[in-house]
Amino acid sequence: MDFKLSEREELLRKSIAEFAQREIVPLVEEMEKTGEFPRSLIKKMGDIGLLGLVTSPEYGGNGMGFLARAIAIEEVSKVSGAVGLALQVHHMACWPIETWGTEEQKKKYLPRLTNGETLGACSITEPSGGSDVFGLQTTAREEGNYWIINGRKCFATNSHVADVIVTVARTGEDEKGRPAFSAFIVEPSFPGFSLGREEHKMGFRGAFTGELIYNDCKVPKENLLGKIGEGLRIGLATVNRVGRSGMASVGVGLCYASLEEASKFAKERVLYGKPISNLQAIQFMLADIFALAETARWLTYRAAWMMDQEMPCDTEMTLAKLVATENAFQCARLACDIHGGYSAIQEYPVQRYLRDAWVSIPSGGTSQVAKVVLGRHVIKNF
Amino acid sequence: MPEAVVCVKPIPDPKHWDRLSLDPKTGVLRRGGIPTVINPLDKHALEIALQLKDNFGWEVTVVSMAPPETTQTLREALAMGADRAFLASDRLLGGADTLATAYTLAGLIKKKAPNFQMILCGNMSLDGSTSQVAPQIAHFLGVPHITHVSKIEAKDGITFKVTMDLKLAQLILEHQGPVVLAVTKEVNLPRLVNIMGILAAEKKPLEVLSAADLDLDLSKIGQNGSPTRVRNLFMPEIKRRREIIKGEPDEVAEELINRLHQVGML
Repeated sequence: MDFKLSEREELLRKSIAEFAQREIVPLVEEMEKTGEFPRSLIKKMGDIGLLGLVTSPEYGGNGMGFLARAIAIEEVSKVSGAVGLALQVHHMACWPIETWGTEEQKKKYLPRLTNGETLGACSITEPSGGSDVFGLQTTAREEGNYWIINGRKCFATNSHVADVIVTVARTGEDEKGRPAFSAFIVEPSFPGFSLGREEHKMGFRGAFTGELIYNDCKVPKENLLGKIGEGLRIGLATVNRVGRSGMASVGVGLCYASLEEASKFAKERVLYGKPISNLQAIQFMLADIFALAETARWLTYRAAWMMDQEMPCDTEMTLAKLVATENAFQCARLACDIHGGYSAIQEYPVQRYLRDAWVSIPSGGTSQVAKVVLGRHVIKNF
Repeated sequence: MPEAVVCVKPIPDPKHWDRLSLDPKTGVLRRGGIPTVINPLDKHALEIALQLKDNFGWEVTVVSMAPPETTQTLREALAMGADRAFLASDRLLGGADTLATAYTLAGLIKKKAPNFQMILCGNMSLDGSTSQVAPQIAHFLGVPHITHVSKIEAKDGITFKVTMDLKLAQLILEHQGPVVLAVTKEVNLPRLVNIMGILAAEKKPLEVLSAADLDLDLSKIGQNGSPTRVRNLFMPEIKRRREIIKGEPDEVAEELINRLHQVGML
C-alpha cells in the first residue's frame, strides 16, 4: 500500500488551492447574498483545468482522473462548498457522455464542457422519485427525427446555468414489465424546454438548484445517450461513481475548512488570560474534528483511487459519501461550538460550513439510502 | 531564440511562519515540517520571463541552489511554463552566504545558459531579505544589474524600458543586452499553475547538478567559501509598554506626536 500522494497530485492540490484563494474567495460573499452562481468563474475553471478532470485529452480534458478530482474538489470546497458542488455535478455530465456517448456526441459536447464555455448538469430526480428510480414519471417517445420528452425534474444542480444536461426518461417497459428508461443529452435551447423555479437553499448558496421542465420538448434522435433502455444503468452509475465520490470530496473540503477555522480561532481567542486552545475541552473537540476529517478524506481517496484502477467501487463510493458528508456536519458543528457565540455571526465562515454540510447530506442520496445500500452489502458479504 | 534565466529560491511557506522557531542552543531554524514554496517575488520574476516567451518566443530556464528535496518547487516553475530547470544541490554547497550562493548560481548559469539575454530574480527572498544575490550574480557574470524593478516594457523584445522604484522617485532606464533584473511585486501578477501545465512539466528536463558538475572553485562555495558568518540568530523580544499622557487635549496631542517622532514612528 502506498498512501503518499505523487508530486503531480501535491502540485495539483497547491495550484487549485491558489486558484481558489485568488478566484473564488472574493466571490463567496456575493454568492451567499444572491444565491447565484458567478458565470465569470466558468471560463476561469475551464482555463485552470478543473472542468476537464474526468475527460480525456482527445476531447479537450486533461484526464487526471478521480483521485485528482477528489483533491481538486476538496480544495475548491474548502473555500466554497457551492462551487465544489457545481463542479462535481458538472463532471456528472462529462463522464456519462464520454463513457456512453457516440463519437459525434463526444466531439460536439465535451470540448464545450471542458474549455469553460459552459457547465453541465445531470438531472434525474423528480418530485415523484429520486432514490426511488421507478417512481420517475418523465417520459420520452419517438416522433420522426425527435424524442419528445414530457415531465419535470427537480433539485437539479446547475439548473439555471448549464447548457448541456444529461437526463433520464421512461421510454417503455423491459421484458419483465418494469419501466425502462433511456438517457438523453438536452440543451436548454431545444423547443419545449424551460426552466422552472429556482430553489432558495439554506446551504450551498451560489450553486443553482432548480427545476427543469420538459413540455413536448423536442430532442434530436442523435441525442439519445447510450442505447434505448440503458438510461437507468447510465443514471445510477453516474450517481454512484461520479456523484457520490464528488459529494464525498465536497464533504472532505468542508471537514478541513472547519478544522482550519476551528484551530485558528482556538489559538486566537483568549479567555482567562490564555488562548482557549490551551484548554483540554477545546483540544478534545479539535482532535474529534481532525479524526472525522482524516477518516472522511481517506475513505474518499480510496474510493476515487479504485475508480482510477477501474475496480468495482460502488460500495466504497457510497461509504465515502455517507461518512464524508455526515462528518462534514459534525466537524462544522464542533467548529461552531469552539466559536461559541461568534458562530452565529456571518463574518465567521463556520456557520456557512454548517449550512453547506447539512445540505450535502441528502445530495446524491440521503444517508438512510446509503445505509440501505451498505446494509445489503454487509448482509451479502459478511 | 533569446534565453531568460530565472533564479528561484525555495523558502519555508510564509503562511506557516508562526510555526518557525529557533533552537536556543544552536541558533538553527526549526522548520517543523513546514512545506517549501517558491519565494513569492521569484514568481513575479518568472512571470516576466514567461511573458517574453509568450510574446517574443524566448526560452525560459530556471536555476536554483537548494537541497535535493526541493525539486517540487522547480517542477512548479516548469508547470507555470518554464522550459527547463537546473538545481545545484550538493552537501559542499551547504551553509553558503549570499556571495557563495551568487558564485554558485553564476557558475550554473555559465555552464547551462551561457547565452542568456536576461537574468531575472526576486528583489529579495522573504526568508533572507538581503537583496544581495542578484547584484552579486551580475558581478560574477560581468553584466549590469538593475534592482527594485517595478515595471518592464518590452516593445520589440530587444530594447527594454525598465522602471526602478526608489520609493521617493522612479528611475526609468532603457536597456539592451544581457542584464540582471531584480523585481518587486508591483511588476505583475504571476499566472496560476494550470492542470495542463502540471502534466506538461513532467516531461520537461529538470537536472540536478553537483559542485563537481559545475567546475566550481571549491574555496568559493558553501560555508568554507563564505566570507560572512552568522554570529548569532535570535528572536527579538517584543514587549508592550503603556504610558498614559495626561493634560489638556492639545498638550496631550503635541506630546504624543513628539513621542512618536522620538521612537521613529512618524
